Amino acid sequence: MTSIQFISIIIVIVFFSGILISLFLREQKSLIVVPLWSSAITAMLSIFFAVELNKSGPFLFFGNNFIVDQLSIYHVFLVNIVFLAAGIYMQDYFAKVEEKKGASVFHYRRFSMLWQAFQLMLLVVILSNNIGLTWVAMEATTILSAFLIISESNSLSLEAMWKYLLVCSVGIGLAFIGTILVAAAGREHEAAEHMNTFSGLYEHASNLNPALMLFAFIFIAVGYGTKAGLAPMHTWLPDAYSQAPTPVFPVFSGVMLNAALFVIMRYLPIVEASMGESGDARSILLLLGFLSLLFAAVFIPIQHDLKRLLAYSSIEHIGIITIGLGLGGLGTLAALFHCMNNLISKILVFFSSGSIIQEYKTDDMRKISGVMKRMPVWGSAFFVSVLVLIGVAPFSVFMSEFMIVRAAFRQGRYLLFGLFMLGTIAIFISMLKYTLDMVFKPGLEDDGSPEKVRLSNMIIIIGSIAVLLTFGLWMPPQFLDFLESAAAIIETGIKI
Amino acid sequence: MQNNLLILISLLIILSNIFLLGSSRTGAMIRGIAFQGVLLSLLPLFLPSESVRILDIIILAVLSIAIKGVIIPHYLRKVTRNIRTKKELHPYLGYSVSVIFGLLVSYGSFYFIGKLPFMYLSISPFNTSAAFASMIIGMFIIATRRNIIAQIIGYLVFENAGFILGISIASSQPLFIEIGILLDLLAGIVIMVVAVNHIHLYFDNVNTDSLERLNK
Repeated sequence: MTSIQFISIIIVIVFFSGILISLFLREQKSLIVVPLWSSAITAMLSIFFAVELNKSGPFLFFGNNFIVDQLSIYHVFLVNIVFLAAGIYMQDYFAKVEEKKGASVFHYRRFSMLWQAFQLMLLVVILSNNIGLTWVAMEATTILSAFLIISESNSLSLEAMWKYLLVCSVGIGLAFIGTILVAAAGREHEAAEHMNTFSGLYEHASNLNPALMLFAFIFIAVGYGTKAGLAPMHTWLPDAYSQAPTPVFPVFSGVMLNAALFVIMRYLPIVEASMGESGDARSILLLLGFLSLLFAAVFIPIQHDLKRLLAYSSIEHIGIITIGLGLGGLGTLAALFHCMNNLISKILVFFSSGSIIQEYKTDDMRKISGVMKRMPVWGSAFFVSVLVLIGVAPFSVFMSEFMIVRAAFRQGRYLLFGLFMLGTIAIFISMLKYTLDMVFKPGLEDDGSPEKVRLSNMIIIIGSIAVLLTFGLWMPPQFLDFLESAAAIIETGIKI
Repeated sequence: MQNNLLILISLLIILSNIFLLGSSRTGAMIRGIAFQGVLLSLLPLFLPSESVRILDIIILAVLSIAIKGVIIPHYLRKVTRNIRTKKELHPYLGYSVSVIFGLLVSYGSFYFIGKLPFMYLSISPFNTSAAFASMIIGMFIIATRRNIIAQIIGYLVFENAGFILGISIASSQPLFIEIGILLDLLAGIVIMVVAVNHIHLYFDNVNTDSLERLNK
């Protein structure tokens, strides 16, 4: 018995902090501190388990229902990191909200309970090996996060929540039909009892009915793609973003969308193997990815709302990850690398823009100017984060996008290469223009009070810029090894 | 005998879909969806008996009747009474057009399902085509009705399609997953009903026309 087999302790910690919040805590402060500590511990544990995994190798636990391999541990790590950063930012955010209008213990408890339950369900999605359980947990994340959107309830946030509920429920319903079709394909096999797990399906993938698997994958890609915010099923996303409270953004953008894509990553090798690596499933992903890039490139230049702008930027980056998956080979590695880069830059951009919106009390970009003078720290964090997001050179987002370009070039897909460059350059120009206006254009008035930034927030800013810069300049060989073995799981399936 | 019953249930499901497409009163729609929910829950009882664990099937059927046939319709009826909407005015498409659409979709899915290369897997082609027809009809109701309750009912029709399909072609999920699926559905509906109440408080009506400020 090696120490990695205690991985379920992560789930246990998240679960019991939720119980603690819902039943025992009575103070506002402790209600938002407990989620922070819980995610700090689990983030540290997931690094520890990632290191341990290299010694012991992948394994199943709780019957065949859960799986730990490089791919899932990597995503567990990403989930916990985002929840940790959001937990740190939350402390400051709620202090300011409280100054403004005061929130009751009830609100705090509801928020923290949903927060923990949401994290728990995301972890279940990622660690699950059972295709049915994955679906159940994914649907649960939709239901739980609906109320995170309307923590400040007004008519617009209700509208956003309704759209989110309905669009995502239908999307997840389509994913359910896809899941059933996959289960049906497994049922004709003699080892039928193992055929509702990812590992079992992969093991017998070459005997599955290829027509049925492709049919199922269309449902799965569209269904989970809705949850991931891929165009043209993305319509809920800008609305939800424009209404949710700031700490929720990076969790939505960095983790929930990633978790939905993660499920597609699990199905991809199974479908491809059943069709004899024909590349049809990858073409579906390429189509969805490029549509997302196109929608983002068209809609970013006409935005006036800062949060909606960032929502479309999320759609762009999810599209880029999907394109990487669709290309395969080096593209898969780049897609996984981009997951992390996107997530860390999202932490930075959402928190800095959240602070700007809180300071200026508007999210209309035409009314925000002179940010650099009024809030030098958050202003420069915002500027750097936008530079990172649009892919400026030394940062790691540039590196992963460059790897995708190289993958397309190496495979001789020049049309895809051209489209990709066109999309990213269009987004580059329009986002840079908005940001320069907001950050450097002289502002109207300045109340002269110096900007106060808490030490914890400084740590988030400096830490994420440092990570983005380091990984842009130099990839640690251990990390590259780890990423390569995770990418190999998407390329060639799970081997236990 | 079993096969005939399966065909009868599929036909009744399709008829209830047509009924939902043609009815304008929310009360009637709720009765229609409750009837459909009970019908679906009976489906697992007619599965070929060698492949299934009988106790699991009975638990599943009872739970499903309770949730789809009793609890959800009760909730919906309560919220309808609360927000006092009885009749829907002006859906985006007329009722007769909707009924014709429903008939065409049902006929089309019977026709096309037979041509799919994996239909030998399903226990009865009637069930599978009823499932695909319900899926499209459910999305159609969501898209064409303005009334929020009608949209929820459209979502339920859509969810039911997944349930029928699951029973007719893949019956090997463990019980706890099936129960999880039902509970997810219940929780989803409860949240939607809470949202309807909030929306009613803010807008004083439950037509989605009021929900069109966030468009860009």
